Amino acid sequence: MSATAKKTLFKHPSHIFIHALLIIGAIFMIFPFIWMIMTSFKSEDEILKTGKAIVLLPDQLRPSILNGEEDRKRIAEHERQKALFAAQTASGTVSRKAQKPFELLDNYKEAWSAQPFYRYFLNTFLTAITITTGSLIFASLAAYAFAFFKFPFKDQLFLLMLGTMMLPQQALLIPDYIILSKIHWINTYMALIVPWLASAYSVFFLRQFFMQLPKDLFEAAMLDGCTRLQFYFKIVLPLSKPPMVTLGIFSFLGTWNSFVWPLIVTNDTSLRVIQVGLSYFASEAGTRWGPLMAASTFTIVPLVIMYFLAQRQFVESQAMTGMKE
Amino acid sequence: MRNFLIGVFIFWLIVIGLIQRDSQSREAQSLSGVGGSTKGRVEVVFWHAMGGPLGTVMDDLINRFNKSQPTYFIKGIPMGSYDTLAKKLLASLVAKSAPDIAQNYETLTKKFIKHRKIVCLDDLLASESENIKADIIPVLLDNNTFDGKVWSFPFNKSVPVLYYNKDLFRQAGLDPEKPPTTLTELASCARLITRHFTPETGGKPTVMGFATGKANVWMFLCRVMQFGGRLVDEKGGRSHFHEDPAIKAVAFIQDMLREGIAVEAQGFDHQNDFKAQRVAMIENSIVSKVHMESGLKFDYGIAPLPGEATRAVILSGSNINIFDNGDPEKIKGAWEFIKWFTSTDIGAEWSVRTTYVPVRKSSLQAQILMDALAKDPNLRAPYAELEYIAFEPRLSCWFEIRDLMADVLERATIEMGPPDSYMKEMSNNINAILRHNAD
Repeated sequence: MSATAKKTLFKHPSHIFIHALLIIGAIFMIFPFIWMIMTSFKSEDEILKTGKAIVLLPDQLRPSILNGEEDRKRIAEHERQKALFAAQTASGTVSRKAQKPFELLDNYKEAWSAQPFYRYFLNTFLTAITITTGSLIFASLAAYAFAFFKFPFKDQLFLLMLGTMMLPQQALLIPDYIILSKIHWINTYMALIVPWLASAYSVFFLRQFFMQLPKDLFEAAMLDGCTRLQFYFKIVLPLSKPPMVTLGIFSFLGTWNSFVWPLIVTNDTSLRVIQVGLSYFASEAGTRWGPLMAASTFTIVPLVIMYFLAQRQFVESQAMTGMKE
Repeated sequence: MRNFLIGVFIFWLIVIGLIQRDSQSREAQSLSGVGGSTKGRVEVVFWHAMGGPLGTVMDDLINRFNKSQPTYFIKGIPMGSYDTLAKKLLASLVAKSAPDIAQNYETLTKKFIKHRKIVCLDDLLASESENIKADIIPVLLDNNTFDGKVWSFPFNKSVPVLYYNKDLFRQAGLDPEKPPTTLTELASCARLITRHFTPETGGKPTVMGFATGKANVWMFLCRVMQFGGRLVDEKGGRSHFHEDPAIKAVAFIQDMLREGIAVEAQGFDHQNDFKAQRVAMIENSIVSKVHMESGLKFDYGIAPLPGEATRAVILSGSNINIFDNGDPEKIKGAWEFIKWFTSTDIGAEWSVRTTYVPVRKSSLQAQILMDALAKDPNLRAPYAELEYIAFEPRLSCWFEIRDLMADVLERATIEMGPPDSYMKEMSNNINAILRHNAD
């Protein structure tokens, strides 16, 4: 594989330029994440105050050769406090005011215990997976109808649906809340999931794709006695992996990151999702950066894992795009 | 693809199973649990906006109330920021699913009175054998009195203070026990410190004298009053920002910025600069102390905000409303909780642990508060300010006005134009809003 990869990678001189550009882009994209992860290993002292040495690496992971004068001072002070605390603990004379010196994973420990993140993760997985699969099913069925069938008021209905995209979510927040409250769904999983199962954007996106599939295919299949659902399952779905996977990723990420809606429609901590949990670290009088960065790090870990799992599907479907014509 | 989908489905089932299990263990916990069993008790739902360390104190006190009596159970639910809480309150009131009590700003209280959503506290206060009203700090009572009636109860009210770095004061040759008491002194302190920390070879100073938040309406209003000015009339709706004190307030910051002895920070960044000893003095809420404390590794002091023509500070923080959900038992439970929470000793404890101002005068004499003051002299500043605190105009369009003010203030320090023109513009625009919103 590597030999062929190499060949295609630099087949043309312009490819070197493209790759250089992509690598620079990648560095820009990944930098905030590296910053986040590094900050999560730092004490508050360190986050706010770093010497002239390399800023990114936390004190406890940085080779001493990279330290500036100020860093050395801070590290020495930290060592001193650590020794003092150890001595006090050993002799059992820990004064009540003595703070435990910072250790590498302290931010993670603090963040994880500050809020019931275990439950938040479960809730977020449940809503994200249900919404992603549900919205793909509903959107593709609706798009299928809009793309292949003839029925009265088809265009008007489509426009009406597109119209819902024009309304910003903020404007709908209170009316939506009232509807949910009338059907007693406030503070239930239903409120978190059901309103997001239908998405005008997804329907529009898939309809545009379905329109490109040859109409003759549909007519030929109908002539051969294929039912409409059979055509949908056997022909349309297998051909539309690329848009489906793309939409799936969008919708999963969107749900994973949603904040205002879950906060507004749920009251119990047992129904909260991770983004609501993250907001706990930023309050009216300041932000706890260390624990916030630690919590942000563990909230993106599942996303990264999901991405690697889905990557094969994604690449596969990219390959399919090439084969279509 | 098929395997992937099957995998996702199995994972989904596992997640549902784990949620079920977690719910069961939670139920078991709440039955055996924190703050005693809820069984057979009147549940009072309380929405609040206390997160982080403040939330921990709040939860602790709620649990203690629940344990202290067998009739009522307070269910405290944190709702994030004040803004989200306000949004949620509005939505829930329209949908008739409001909580029983909630933290709230005065502006919204006015709306709630108009639409008869909240309970008037006068009758509840009158039904008590103790004269609670006489013991409430007068300005806090005024803050919650609308047209002669008490409609909300002071709950977590904070004041702004001046934080200063005593180590840096010493290094610059200033007396660390004599923080500035007037704005003129503040400027000269900032000047001395900045100069002291400017390298002789020129270049940027390593420590700035003073820092404040960019477009910070709260601090601007405090300064207007410190220069002896008025804000906006609650009755009759007229802005006074075109007058001299407001012009001086803007000029004060502009001058310091121009001279290079102060900086403006986004959000809470000046807090971080203070912690990192890059700034010697900052002005901010006393509640920030709770947040900053773990990062303050040097000798620091907290002083009352400097005055000028007069000393003045403006209250921030929220009050508490009881919503009329038609159940007198819940209203009674809510009132019992508020009474308990703001009582002499508990109020003093809340104040000491969070630095919010206590509601009652008697709390100021409570032992726990006395002990805390003796141990941490920095806590004295907010209590010293109690003599001259004021509050922002309680207009229902006040948030709109505040946004407008922030916008003008931001431009004033970016463009650095003549201060009177900004203030004239601010006043005119506010008067225009007031013309359309009588109350």
